[in-house]
Amino acid sequence: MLKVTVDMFSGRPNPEWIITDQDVVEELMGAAAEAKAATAKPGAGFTGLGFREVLVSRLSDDPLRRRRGPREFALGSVAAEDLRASVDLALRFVATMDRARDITLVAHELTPLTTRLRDLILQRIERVLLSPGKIFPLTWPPYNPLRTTIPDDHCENCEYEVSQFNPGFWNTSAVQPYNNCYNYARNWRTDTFAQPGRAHGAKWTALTCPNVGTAAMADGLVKRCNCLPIEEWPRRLMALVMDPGGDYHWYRHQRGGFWGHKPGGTAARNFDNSGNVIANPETCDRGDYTEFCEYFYAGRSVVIN
Amino acid sequence: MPVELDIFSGRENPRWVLDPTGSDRLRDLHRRLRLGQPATDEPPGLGYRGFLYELEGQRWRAWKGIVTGPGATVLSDPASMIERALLASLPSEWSDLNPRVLKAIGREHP
Repeated sequence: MLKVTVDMFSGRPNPEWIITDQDVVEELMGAAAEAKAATAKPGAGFTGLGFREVLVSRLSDDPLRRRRGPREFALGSVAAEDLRASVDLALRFVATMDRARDITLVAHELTPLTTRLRDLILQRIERVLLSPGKIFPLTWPPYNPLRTTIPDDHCENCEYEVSQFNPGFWNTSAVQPYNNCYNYARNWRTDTFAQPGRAHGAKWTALTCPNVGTAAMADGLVKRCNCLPIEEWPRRLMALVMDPGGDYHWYRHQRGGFWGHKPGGTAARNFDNSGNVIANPETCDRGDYTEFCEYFYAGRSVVIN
Repeated sequence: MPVELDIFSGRENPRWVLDPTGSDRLRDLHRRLRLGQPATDEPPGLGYRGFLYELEGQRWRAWKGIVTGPGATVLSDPASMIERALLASLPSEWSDLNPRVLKAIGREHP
């Protein structure tokens, strides 16, 4: 899943949208990986008024199926080694805007994704070629392919994916305060303190296991042992627990046999309230979250906000 | 003055604004604090993690009698007066959280 932001406005929110179609993501990220000279470090190019760059950002740390690439990069940037290629690739990303109107973001209230806006963006990007700027050297973060498909011992013929525990993705000042347990367990940084069901107009209404579970299922989660097909890769195993009437909490199964979680705006971690690594969310120290609800699978089609 | 009760995981934490009297009271209580020793344990992941407030642009966390702030500053509030004052200002819609906080900081003044 990718977030595309066209950095061009000053007063109103920049145009932004999310690409959820995994085939499109693979295709575009593959194109970006093959054309490294077209990509640039975000913010390294023009920083004045007007079109600055198209920022592409991955919304989870799940590795791509075939090609590696950075978590975040800029296109149409004068910092790119090959500006023409950068502009061409930026135009390909912008072309996805028309198909991405189904997910409403806060920015869309003031900057709706209209055809007129798309034409304006295209026009401004193409104009970059007339005034190329300074070229900056590029550096790339290491690729982390540690993700494994495992059978679910509790079910017949179900599999899911476990990924390397990677708290560094979450525990930064730009991410940690704005993402909660649901973001972490789903592995999707929305920066909105995501709430079960909210992305689909079905936000939870009571702090009970059935109510929050149902809200999460409106987002696309399915109960454990309802096997997800490989098309839903990467599929995660999540656990829901409840502080009855008070709050809810989610865990995610990680590679290595333990569970990770992120209590509210605090740091992501893999230990419980007693400081023990979480081997079992049903029996770990959960403080007042005394009720264990159930397990869910979350495939890639699960959208949260 | 905005304050926050850091307690939830999934839901947004309760946040509210102190009225001028409450703000003055908090300032006064904070001013009386003395330097202290760091807590031997950290706030838990799940459950009551303290009250957050901001004074003169600096953010503070009061948790179980220890007040921590910028530059690893540690202040001692052995009677948890700041937490009790902020708990008393908690809007009624969050009153069900009272027992949980009191359980953590102790029901009685020492």
